Amino acid sequence: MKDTKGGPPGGYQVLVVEDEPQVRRFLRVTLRVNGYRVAEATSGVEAMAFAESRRPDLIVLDLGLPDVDGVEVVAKLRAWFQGPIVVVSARHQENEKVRALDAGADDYLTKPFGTSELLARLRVALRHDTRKAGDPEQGVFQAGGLRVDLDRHEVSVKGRAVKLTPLEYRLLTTLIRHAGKVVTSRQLLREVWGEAHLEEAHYLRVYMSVLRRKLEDDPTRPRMLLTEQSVGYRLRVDRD
Amino acid sequence: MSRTTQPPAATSVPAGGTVRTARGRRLRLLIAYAVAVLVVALATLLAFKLHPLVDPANIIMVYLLAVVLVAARLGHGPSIVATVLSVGSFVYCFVPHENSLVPSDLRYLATFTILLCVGLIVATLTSRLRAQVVATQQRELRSQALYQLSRGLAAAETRSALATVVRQHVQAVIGGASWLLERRGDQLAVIETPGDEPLSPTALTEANRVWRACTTVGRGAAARRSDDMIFLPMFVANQPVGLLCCRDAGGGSWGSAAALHLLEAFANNAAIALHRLIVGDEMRSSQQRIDQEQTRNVLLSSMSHDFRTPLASIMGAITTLIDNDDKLDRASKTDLMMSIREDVDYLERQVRNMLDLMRLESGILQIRREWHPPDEVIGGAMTRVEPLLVGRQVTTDIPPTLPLVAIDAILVEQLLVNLLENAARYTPAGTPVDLTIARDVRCVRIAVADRGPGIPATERERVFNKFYRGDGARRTTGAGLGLAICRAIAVLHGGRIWVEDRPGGGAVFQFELPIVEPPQQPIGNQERPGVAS
Repeated sequence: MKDTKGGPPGGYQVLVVEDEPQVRRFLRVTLRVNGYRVAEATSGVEAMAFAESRRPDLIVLDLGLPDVDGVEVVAKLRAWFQGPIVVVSARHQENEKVRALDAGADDYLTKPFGTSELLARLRVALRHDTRKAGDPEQGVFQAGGLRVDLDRHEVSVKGRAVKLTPLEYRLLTTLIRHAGKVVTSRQLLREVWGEAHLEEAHYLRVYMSVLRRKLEDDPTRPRMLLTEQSVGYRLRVDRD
Repeated sequence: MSRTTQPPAATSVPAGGTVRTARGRRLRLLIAYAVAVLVVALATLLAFKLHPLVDPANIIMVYLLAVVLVAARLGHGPSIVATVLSVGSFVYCFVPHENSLVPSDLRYLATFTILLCVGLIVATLTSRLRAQVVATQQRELRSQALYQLSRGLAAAETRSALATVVRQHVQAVIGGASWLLERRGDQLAVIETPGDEPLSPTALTEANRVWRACTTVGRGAAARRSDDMIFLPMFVANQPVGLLCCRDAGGGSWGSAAALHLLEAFANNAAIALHRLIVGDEMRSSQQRIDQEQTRNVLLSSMSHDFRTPLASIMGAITTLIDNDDKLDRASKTDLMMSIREDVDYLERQVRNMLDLMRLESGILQIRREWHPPDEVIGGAMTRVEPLLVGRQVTTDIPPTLPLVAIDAILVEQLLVNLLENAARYTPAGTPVDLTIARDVRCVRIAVADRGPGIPATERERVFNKFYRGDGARRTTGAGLGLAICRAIAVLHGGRIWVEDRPGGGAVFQFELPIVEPPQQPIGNQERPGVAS
């Protein structure tokens, strides 16, 4: 446990909002062992109060809270809280998940989840704290054989140049901007197609399918452009 | 209801239920008399033509013919008129007489009397015959109406369809609106028929009053009328099941005995049909209860085995770890921990499957169809089962030009995951798994083929049953629900799933989902996706 907000992940303070004591216990142990400082809240109200007074770096929030709707907590936190929020949901809460993500959560975990998955999500969320970094659309993005030169608008897979239409390129760069994180369909539609097309998810699916055919070795066994069914898409980054 | 039905009276309710007004009747009578006069005039004309050839006694035959004709076609009144006119014309035209109109001898009084008698007898006979014909026709119409009603009722599978059938028939036969009411608790409620006017609250109150009377008094309570409404309680085996309520279309003469009888017969038929639906509902719900009970029993016995075994092994491993922390070497600890992990995975899968199946079978789950490229759904499933398929050759054969399919992607992905997991679990390690997708005009067919032991013909149907475990899968964990979930998902999509032998060994699980027309070309099509690759 370090007290200074030093190099990642040491010293980051995580607020765990979870009403189940057993889950809290396991999260506490895992996170401490991996160098995070852990604070706990058992209800939405408590979480809001704590977040306001102590300003954690990251919030892990269970959506099934006893007092308030978890999505509401996300929306309220987002009004002023800058750090990443990772929501935890039970299965069969696809809608909740998507609502939480659209309300401003950065990523999600589905119970039951393993430690490695949890830590990977937190790492990505912290790295991509886009609200702070601003993440300029420049430089070179590289992951799993994919290379995208954001300045020269060039895409290649394993050294082989790939031609993309402007729309496909925009879709890819949007995913790159959120690399490693889930991006909801609405978010992608908004950023690539614009506000008017938020309900037309099948366009997005068709383009993702085309993009996969161009970039993946085997589009039916995707390595990079992963589908999170009925939530959105995730561009897989190495080691995450 | 309370009366026995009789053949309807001859004078009322003509075919189609059109109501004859008094004015129309007068007009018809007037025409009948005019025709009678005309016929006698024609007879006279004919008599003049025949007069030079035959003697007066034969001329009277011409008039007899006229009278018989009029009597046969037009009834009593016109026949009397025709007789009087005939005798008059005959005497006036063909009997030599002096200066007065009255013949000198009264011989022709006999002629007149006979003519009159013949006319009246013929008129009486024919009118009786006609009455019989009308009665027969009405009986015919009535039984036809009833027949059609009962056919319609037999086909009706919902209350609303039933009420619509009754409504249409009442409309066709008596020309008025009608409502079918059913007992809900101790009140009556209208069975809604979409698009029709609702029953007025006052009428509903009145209907409930009639209903209360007949439920307390029993069948003795007959149909009740008020103003233009009629309320017919409906009974099956002396048990009140509902009430038929009809409103006159206007004209005021619908309440004839025949119409009422027909309505009562309608109400009887509707009562039987309604009762059939009620009994059907009861049977279904009790069948459901039995099914639920059975599922619960199987679930309990399955849980006691499938859950206790891994729990016991977890408990054993954990206590070993806690109690012998200092004695165990690193490898043994890892081994125990991996065993715990496997058991937990298994439990998690089992719980998830059980919840999934309950959700799917509860009927609460609404499938959410959206347009998906099939390869994306397959990709999603493959990503999820990837770790299980390590070390196997997995081929996917997907035509590049597959159109979008309207499916609930979460469910279909789950279906695919289950099939692939099964292939991974129940076939020897290292054997290949092949996934193919094909489309014909009506459906998309996806097949998962393995090179395992295959499924014996006797088990091919049963493997899709809940908690069924094939011989080969006896001790492998996690089975029993996966394929039942697959089938539930396929059925929810209006499709089907089955398993076949694979030529050369192995099994092929296939499922078919019907195709719905895909949506328009995606936006941004000016950029022609896929061209520039």
